[in-house]
Amino acid sequence: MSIFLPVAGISIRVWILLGAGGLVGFLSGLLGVGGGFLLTPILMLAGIPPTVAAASDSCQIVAASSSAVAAHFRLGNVDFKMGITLLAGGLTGAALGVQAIKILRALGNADSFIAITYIVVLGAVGGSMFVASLKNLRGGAMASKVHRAPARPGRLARLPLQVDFERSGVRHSLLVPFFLCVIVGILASIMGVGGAFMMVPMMVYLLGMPVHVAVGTSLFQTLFTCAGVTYMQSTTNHTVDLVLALALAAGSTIGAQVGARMTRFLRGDQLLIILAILALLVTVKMTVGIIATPANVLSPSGGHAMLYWPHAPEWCRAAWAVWAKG
Amino acid sequence: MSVASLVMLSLYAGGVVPPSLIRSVTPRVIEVGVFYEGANVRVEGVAPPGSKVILTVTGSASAEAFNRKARYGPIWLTAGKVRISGAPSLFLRFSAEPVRNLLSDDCIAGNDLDEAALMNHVHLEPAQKDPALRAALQADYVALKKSDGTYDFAGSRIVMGQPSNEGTPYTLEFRWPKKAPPAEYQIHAFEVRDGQVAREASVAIPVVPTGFPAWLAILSESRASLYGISAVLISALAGFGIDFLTTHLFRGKRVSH
Repeated sequence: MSIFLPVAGISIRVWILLGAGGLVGFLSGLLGVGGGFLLTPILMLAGIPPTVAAASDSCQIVAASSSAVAAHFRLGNVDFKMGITLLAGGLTGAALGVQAIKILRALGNADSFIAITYIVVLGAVGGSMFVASLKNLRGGAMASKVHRAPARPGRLARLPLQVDFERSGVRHSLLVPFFLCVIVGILASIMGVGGAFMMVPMMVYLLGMPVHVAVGTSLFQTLFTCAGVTYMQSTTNHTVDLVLALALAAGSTIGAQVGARMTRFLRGDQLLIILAILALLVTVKMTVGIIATPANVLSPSGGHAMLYWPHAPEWCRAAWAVWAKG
Repeated sequence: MSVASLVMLSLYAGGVVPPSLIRSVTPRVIEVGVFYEGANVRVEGVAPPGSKVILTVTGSASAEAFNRKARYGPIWLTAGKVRISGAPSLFLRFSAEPVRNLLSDDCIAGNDLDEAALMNHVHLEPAQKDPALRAALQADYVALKKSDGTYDFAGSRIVMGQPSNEGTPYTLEFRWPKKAPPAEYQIHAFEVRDGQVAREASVAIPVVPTGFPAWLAILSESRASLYGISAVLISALAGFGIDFLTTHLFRGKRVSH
């Protein structure tokens, strides 16, 4: 059975959407990642225009992350105070990253820079997380303990705006998570991803938050980031396909519930090693992608979705006139 | 004046009304609802005695943007964007036997009936001065279109009936590609005689969204702000709703960590 996507302008099999949504939702609930790095390429492979795929993916992440946030909230895994601080830092970083991309595009090297940044950052984060988690797992009984904050350097402890983040069990200056998130936001914006891949390890290793709380809090900030992106894409580019987003959400919300409940059966280090393996797999995939000779040197590009739907404005206006009269 | 027009004039002058090249197209309009799998389209007509028919289904000229990869040392990176315009958004070609058996190469090229002829209309931006690179990009473009089913030159699917005095009736049945977006398309019939196109006829076939998909597409364009807020709220409510349902389904099975 296929379903017609009114904004994408094409029809697609329902099981592809449910399956892809379910897989990404599971990873989202389990690891606190949005899953855009996985879902957008799947949708593009299924023939959906890239801009519609990316914008609708943001919309479905709203559904998946709200489902997972609610589940994590009941499990006591969401630190709202930290989440709001991270959100503010992430949005600031994203805005700066957009400007950086503009400069890179003007210089003409943006895409190459993005590809190499992706491989280096993801590889470094995934690799270091994998090694650290493996060491902890080999540590036996110690591994069952959640990560605690490393001893904070004296200078950081003397920064102003010191706040207790009770849910995370850490005390930091608001400036520390804010500026760390600015950096993550810049990188995420340049790489075109949500940034949870970097956000979760940053919360665990640099802020000393327990892994489960880092996952829940990452989802909290992802929910608001993607809600903002969805609204902006709807009003600016008209590329959010609600039917596509809801079909994906049908799978991802259930997958997110399963993933979030699975976290109860996994230790922090086990969750981190899964996230590390995922990051390394994406890195390998990206590396193969730039080394192997492509079957086709052309691939659909971002841009306005109407490029793929040349007559939409005409029939839209005509249909709107009829609908408004009726 | 074209050869086809001259033939038509001579036939009319002699008081002979030629049979309809395209007698019927079913359905006349392809309606796109919520669950859309494409459509079965049937074209019927009559080829005058001693002639054959080639049918094409075409969309209007499209413009699409692509990333173009190029090799830099050992790695392939995006070298820039290419805008490809002028080629039809949809091109399906059907005939009862291979087109090369029916028409000369010049005639195929003159009537835009093969890949090479279609590519003559393609504009690349930025323009590619190297002919080999230009040809490679055009070939890759056609390969992409073939892979998504919007270009098909396979062709021999027209079924010819029993000849009569009027001519030979033909029938074409094909699956309308579900990836062809809503727009107006043309079904074009070429009457082929002695290796030349003797006459042409065309019929429009609109693909029109109806019901909920049409309403939603209109809303996304005309009330973008309302659409955006609704999309966020509906998605969030769907997420919280699923959480509520699963919480009640699994009540009493909670395990703390």
